Amino acid sequence: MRRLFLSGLKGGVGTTTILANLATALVQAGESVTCIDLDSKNELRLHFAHAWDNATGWSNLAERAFDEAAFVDQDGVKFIPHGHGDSSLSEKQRMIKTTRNLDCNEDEWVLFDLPSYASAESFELQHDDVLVRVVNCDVNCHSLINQRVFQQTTIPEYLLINRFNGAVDIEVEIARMWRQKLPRVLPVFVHQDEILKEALAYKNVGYNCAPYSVIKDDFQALISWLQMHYAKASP
Amino acid sequence: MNEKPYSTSKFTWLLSLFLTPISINWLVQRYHFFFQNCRYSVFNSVLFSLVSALLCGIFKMDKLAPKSEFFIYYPQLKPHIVRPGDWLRFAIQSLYLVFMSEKPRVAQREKRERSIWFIVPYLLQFLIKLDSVISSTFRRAIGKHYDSERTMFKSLARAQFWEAPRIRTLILVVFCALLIVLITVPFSLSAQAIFMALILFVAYSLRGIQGRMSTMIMVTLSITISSRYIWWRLTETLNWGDPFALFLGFGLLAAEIYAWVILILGFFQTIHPLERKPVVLPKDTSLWPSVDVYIPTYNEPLSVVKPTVIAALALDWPEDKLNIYVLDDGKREEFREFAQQVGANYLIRPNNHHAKAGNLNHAMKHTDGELIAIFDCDHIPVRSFLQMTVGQFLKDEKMCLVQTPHHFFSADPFEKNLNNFAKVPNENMLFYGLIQDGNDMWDATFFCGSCAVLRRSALDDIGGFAVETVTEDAHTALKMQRKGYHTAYINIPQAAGLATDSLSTHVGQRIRWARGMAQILRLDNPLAGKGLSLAQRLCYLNATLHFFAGVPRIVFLTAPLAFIYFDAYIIFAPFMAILLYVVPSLVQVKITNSRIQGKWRYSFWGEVYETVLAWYILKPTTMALIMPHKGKFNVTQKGGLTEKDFYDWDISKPYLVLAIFNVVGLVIGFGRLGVSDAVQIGILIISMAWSLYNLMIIGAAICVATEARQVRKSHRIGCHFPAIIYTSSGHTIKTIVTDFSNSGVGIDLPTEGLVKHGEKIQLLISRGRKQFSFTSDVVNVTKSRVGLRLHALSPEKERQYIECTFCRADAWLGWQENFAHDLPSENFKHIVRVSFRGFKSLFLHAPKSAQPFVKALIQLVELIDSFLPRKPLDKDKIKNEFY
Repeated sequence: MRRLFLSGLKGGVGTTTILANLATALVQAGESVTCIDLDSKNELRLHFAHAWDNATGWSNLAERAFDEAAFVDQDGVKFIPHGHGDSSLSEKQRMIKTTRNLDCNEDEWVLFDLPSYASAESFELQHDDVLVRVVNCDVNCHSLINQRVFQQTTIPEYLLINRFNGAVDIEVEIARMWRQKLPRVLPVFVHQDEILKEALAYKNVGYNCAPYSVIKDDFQALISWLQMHYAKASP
Repeated sequence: MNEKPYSTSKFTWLLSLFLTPISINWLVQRYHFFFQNCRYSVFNSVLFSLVSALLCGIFKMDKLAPKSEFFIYYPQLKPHIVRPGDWLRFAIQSLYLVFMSEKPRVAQREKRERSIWFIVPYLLQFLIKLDSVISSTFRRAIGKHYDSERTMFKSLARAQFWEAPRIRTLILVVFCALLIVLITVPFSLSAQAIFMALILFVAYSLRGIQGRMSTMIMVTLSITISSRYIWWRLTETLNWGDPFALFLGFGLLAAEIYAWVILILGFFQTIHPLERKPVVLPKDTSLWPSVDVYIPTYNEPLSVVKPTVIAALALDWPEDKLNIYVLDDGKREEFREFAQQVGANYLIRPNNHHAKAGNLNHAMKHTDGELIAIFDCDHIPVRSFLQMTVGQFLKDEKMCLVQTPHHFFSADPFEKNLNNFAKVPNENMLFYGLIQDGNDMWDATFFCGSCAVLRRSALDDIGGFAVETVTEDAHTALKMQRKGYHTAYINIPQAAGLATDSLSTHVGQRIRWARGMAQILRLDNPLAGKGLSLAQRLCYLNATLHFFAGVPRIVFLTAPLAFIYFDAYIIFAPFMAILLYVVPSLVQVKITNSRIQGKWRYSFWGEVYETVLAWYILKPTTMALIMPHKGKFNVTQKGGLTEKDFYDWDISKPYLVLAIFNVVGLVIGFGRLGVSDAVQIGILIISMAWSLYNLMIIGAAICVATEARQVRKSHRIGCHFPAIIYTSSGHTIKTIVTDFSNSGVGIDLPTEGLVKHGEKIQLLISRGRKQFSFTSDVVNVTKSRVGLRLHALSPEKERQYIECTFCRADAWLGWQENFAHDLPSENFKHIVRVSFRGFKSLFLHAPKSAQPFVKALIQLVELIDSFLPRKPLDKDKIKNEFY
């Protein structure tokens, strides 16, 4: 089981969108994927065309009632919505632990949508888990990165730049600076593309809607990087 | 009969009495095609449909389909235009089609491929296979280890006894003796015929076989046959009885001997091109040497120099080990400012002694890099230039020079005026594609003034760049090689520049080279002096002798006239003997050269290039031989704009004189045909054929002097690399960049309709991990192909743009592969066409008073030509053109 945790450095950087697109891209590349939404905003499901008024989710169902909470979208992505309502930190921790017992094969990808305030410590991630922080190339994120001391835990936090627009000078400058100074900025990034916004209006992911967009390449590059990373970590 | 479908016209009703409905339908269709689609008159349409029906019905020309294929069979008829007399053209062509039973050319080609001669290579392959089978069985029989790789031939070739010096000398002596016998023994005419037929047969059968071995055999045959020819000329063909003819005959013989020497030297030079590969640099960059990049400039505009300096700054090399120097002999303030702004050094000197060489020598005194890279100010290097070249210096301590090819992304005057850019290999390609690589085999690569890296210590050893001649580059290399240093050539284009832009500047540049090489021959003769190996001497000798081609070329262009005008037998031999010696030798030499040089120089083009220069290099080379110290350095101008077509009367004067001599000669020749006796007629015909051939070459030279208009100020350069665009709506699209220039980019989108004309978009190009953006307007949309015009670039953006385009390591790599191997017959036809165009343009640019007469003449010729029957067009070709 390959567990990937995605979390925004702050709210609104596009974590959920990235996760939904990545899951679709993985499925289309022939992988088996389960997504679990740990954010009480319960937004992930919208990308997978889940009925808007369906309040079901792991947080408001009795324990181990995954059968009822899990859905499969048209592409074949399995996902467990958070469900309407709130969940405490301990409930989330329990949920993460429960997934360890999921009945699935070695190659299964399990993608977690973590809320932005979550820290790596609090979820007791294991050494073969990957935690990716989604950031935007702007001064806010730069300031947050500098404020926050990246703890040298067993689980390193990787930075994935989202909504990168190479035509904006300041973004290019900030990206260049991060690449030079920060140790774990992913070599791949996701370009800014309006299609990601528009796709949600069709209850779909941008990956499916824009055959000519460069984000297709971006996600494929991201998948390659992840596969390489897991291959390196597993033996 | 059912009349209903045809009741629309009485005519079809009338037909229905005789024909079936299908045929009538077919006829009506055809009539409508001519009447409506091709806008022919009623009369013509009826006529054409009836005759094509006849052709189809009676003569079974079933491929004559009604629609567009009609014009494949009738190329002289054009849709939409009806000229008077079209029915006559139609009739003539129909008769031609019926009686010649011409199929389109596709079928013909298939037939040619089934020719019996194609058996020969298969036969040889079969023999080689047989050899391998027999030898392996033999080995197995005597119990040796079975090895399919070791055939009898190979084991013979690798045997130890070849290494023994005595055996080698013995074989060499026997071989040379045999050669001398073959060259010098006089044959009877029939024996000569058999001998030549034998040689040509062997050569022809070797044609289809790849590999160096068969090339060597071809070369041996060519040397034998041409030496035999020269021997025959020396011993049997001089007219001792007639002093005037003897004098002219000696002239021709001298020219022939020159050509023969150059031929043999050329074979020697290119027999085994080295094709050296770059040496990988060590991982540890502290071991890399420091490099100074010199960019000498004199009077070129800043816009030409700018990209070169920017590209030099972007070379992949440790920053603390790379220094860029702009060496400005023009001493211009704007250059100083520019250099300061981008971070290059700027050097000037108090005087301008010794032109470029002096400029470089001055710079050497003020810099201290271990290696010196030199770029002419218009040669833009790619980022990998130093990575590709410097390894050689680390591998070999005595390496003093690594040269890379000069590649030009704009059309040179030949390519521009003949409109064959990227279709026919240009004049340079033979030298940089083959000759330098061949020189490298003999450690005789020489410096070409730009796109090269030199070792400072080696230069110091010879006292800096050579200043004695106007070609300081070749002379510098020669001097270094005399000291025992090695040179290398890497045939990977690592820089590109502008070609000379007009014929007169091109000729000017070549005059300088010719003068310089002649000076070297005189002042520092490669045959004399210390330090060179024999092979090096021969390679340098060929390089210098090559520029003396002026006199011999003019002799060849006028030689046949000696007999026509003066009745002088300059080759004093019977008609059959001339035919049997000259023609096979020429054919054999042409075939061999085409085989060796075919990828870089097409047949007959060399003669055109030489003819254009012949008159102009004649004087400077002769002068340099007599007074080697005279003559100054003239700077080659580049980057200009020709605003409209014009004919360069000044430069074409010598060709015009030659053309007139030859035309008058042909006229006289025709006149003499009637009054000559049988002995003379043969010689006369040979002379006239030769003169006609000369006229063809001169015509091509005349065509080159028609200066074509140069529309774009910045040249479009073809390429293929990925990029991204941001549309104005904020969407990204993956694209391929197909061409670029200083101010615009052509891209190919994955599908149509993704951008609109006039839309403002962002173009993102990646370089390594970095991405650069360029704001541009969509100025042209044709299906998925889109033309972009870049918004004015800031200095910083301009730097990025040059780094993303001109400096790409792969920018010029595919260039040489565009050319197919030479096909002599095709190129002969090509030259004939070019030649006709040359004479036509001569008439078109004739003085005003002669214009009406000339126009009428041309119209008359075209009119007659339009009535002549033609071969049906090539279907594939038409499709390609439409595509």
